[in-house]
Amino acid sequence: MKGKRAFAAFRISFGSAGAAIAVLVAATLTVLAADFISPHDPLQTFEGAYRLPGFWSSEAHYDPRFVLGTDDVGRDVLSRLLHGARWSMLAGLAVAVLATALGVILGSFAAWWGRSVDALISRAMDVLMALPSILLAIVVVTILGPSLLNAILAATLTAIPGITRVVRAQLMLEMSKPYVAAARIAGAGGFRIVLRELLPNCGGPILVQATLGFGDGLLNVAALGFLGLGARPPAPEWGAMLADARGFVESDPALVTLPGLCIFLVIWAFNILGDEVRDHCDPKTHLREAR
Amino acid sequence: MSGRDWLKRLSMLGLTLWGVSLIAFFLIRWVPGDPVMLMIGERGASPEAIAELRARLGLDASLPEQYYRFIAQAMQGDLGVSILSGRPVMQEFRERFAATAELGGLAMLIAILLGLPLGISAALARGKWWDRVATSLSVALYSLPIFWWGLVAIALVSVRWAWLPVSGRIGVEYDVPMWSGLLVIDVWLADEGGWPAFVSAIRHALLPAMVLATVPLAVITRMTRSSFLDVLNEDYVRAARAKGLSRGRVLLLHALRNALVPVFTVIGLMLGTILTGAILTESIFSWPGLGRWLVSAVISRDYPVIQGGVLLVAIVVLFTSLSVDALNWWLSPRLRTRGRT
Repeated sequence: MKGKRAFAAFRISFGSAGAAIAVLVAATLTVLAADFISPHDPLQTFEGAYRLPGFWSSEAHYDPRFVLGTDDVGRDVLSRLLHGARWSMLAGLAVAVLATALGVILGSFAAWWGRSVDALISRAMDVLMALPSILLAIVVVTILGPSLLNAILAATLTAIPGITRVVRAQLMLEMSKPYVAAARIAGAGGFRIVLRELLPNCGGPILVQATLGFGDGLLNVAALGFLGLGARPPAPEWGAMLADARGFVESDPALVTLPGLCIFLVIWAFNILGDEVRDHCDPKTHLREAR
Repeated sequence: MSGRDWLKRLSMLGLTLWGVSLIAFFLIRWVPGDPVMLMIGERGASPEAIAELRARLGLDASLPEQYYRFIAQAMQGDLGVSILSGRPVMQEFRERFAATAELGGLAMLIAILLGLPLGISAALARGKWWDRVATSLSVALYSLPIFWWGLVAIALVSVRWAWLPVSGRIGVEYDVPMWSGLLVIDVWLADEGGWPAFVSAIRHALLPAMVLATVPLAVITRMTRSSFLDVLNEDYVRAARAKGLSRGRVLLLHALRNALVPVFTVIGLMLGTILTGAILTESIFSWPGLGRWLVSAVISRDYPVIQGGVLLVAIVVLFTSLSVDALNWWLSPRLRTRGRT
C-alpha cells in the first residue's frame, strides 16, 4: 500500500524526478560495473596520447580509442570518469550513512534523555555550526592527513549538526503525542519508545536529510579533493580530477568540464529526489495542493 | 519571545562562543607541524634561537596557560599577533573582512535582486511553465559545485571572452588608501580615480560575486516562492481581495510584507553559507578575503590567526543570526505578542 502510494507520487511529477532517478540508476550501475564497461584501465597511461580531444573534435588527432579524450598524462578520460563514479558515489554514501546514524543517535539522546544532555548536545551542535564548515573540514583533514577516508570523516563531521537538529526537533514534536504517553503507561522503557515508537514515525524527515546528505557529502568530499585534501593521485575521484585539470582549463576545457558535470548531475539528482521525498512525506504540501 | 528569552539566548550565545574558542585553540594545535619549525624552514637554526623564538611567541608555556592567556587577552580585544606577518590579528581581520564583505555583499545583492522577482513571479505563475522554469533553475543553481562553476566562469568570461578581469580587487593603476577597506566606498573617500576606479572595483568583484551568489540565489528564489504561496492562501489576503482592493495593491501591501519575513530570516542565516562559499571562491579568484586568510593560516600553522580569526568569524555569524531574529521579532507583530498571550 505504502509502496504503491510512493510510486504514484513519483509518476505524477515524472518530469525532473524521472530524470533524477535515471541519473542515479545510471550512476549506481556505473559504480557496480565500472570494471566491465570502462574501455581502459583508469590508471593506465598511453604514451604519446597526451591531452587528446574527444569525439566532438574534428581535428585529425582524435583517437577513436578515447571517446572523451585523454588527460595530461595520457589516461583515458571516459574510464577515469566511470571509475570516478565509484569513488565519489561511495564517498557520498559513506557520509550520508555515517552522518545520519550519528545524527539520529545524538538527536535521540538530546530529545529524550533530559535537559542537561539536551543542552550539552545542542550547544555542541551550535559550536559546530558557528564554524565555517569547509574550514573545519580542512583542519580535520590536515590533522588526520589527506586521504579519501579522512575527507569522508571530515565531511561527516560537518554534516552531523544539521541532521541532529532535524532529528531532535522531530522527536520533540512526536513526543507530545498521546501514543507516546500510552507506550509509557504500558511500561515501555526509554530505549524501546525511541527505537520502536518515535523513530519510525520520524522516518520521512530523516530520509529527506539522508538523501540531501548524500549529495552534500559527495560535494564536500569533491571540494576537499579539489583542494588537494581528498583522494590521493592518481585515484580518479571527480574532485581530484578537477584539481588535476585546473591548469588546462584554457587549452582543454573538456578536462575540467566533464568531471564537474558529473558532480553536478549527481548532486542535482539527489536534490530533486530529496524534494520529492519531502513532498511525499510532508502532509502540508498535499494540503496546499488540495486547496 | 520575552525579555527573559532574549537574555537566555544571549547567554547561550556566550556559551557557544566559548566552545568555538576551545575548538579553534586546541584543534589547530593538534595539527602536526610546529609554526616555529615552519618559520625557520630548511635553513635550520641553533636550538637556542629556536627556544628564544618559541618563548617570544609565547609557545613555551603549557597549553592551559596558553589558552588562559588567549582568552584573557581576547576579553580585552587583543587577539595577539600573526606569527607569519607580525601584524595584529585584529587589524588583519578588519582588512580581510572588508574584502570578503565587499564580495559577499555584492553576491547577496545579486541574489536578492534576482531571487525575489524570480520567486514572486514563480509563485504568481504557480503550476504554469514559468513556475517550472524558475523552480528547476533554482534546484540547478543549488546543485552547482562552486569550485567547478568558478573555474568554468573564469575560463569563459575572463579568458576566452575577456569581459571581466581574472583576479585582484581593482586595476593596478589605482592606488586607493584603505579607510573602510571596502574599495567601492574608499575610491570616493580618497577621491582617487572617481567613476573609472569605482567601475574597476565592481568589475573585479563581479565574477567572483556571481559565482558566490548561486547558492543564495537558489535558496532565496525557493523561499520567496513558497512563502509567497503560503501568504496568498491566508485569510487576510483573501479578505483584502474580497473587499475589493486591486490585485496589485493586495500583493504589494498585504502579501509581500508578510511573505518577506521568512525570506529575511533565510538571508540572515545564509551568512554562514556565504563565508563557506567564500573560502572556495576566494581561493579560485585569488581574492584577499577571510577565506584565503584562514586557509593559509592553517597551512602555515599560524595559531594566533586561526584561533582569533575563527572566533571573530563565529562572532559575526552568531550576532547576525541574532539580529535577524531581533529584526523579525520587531517587524512581525505576531511574534511579539505570542509571548504574552
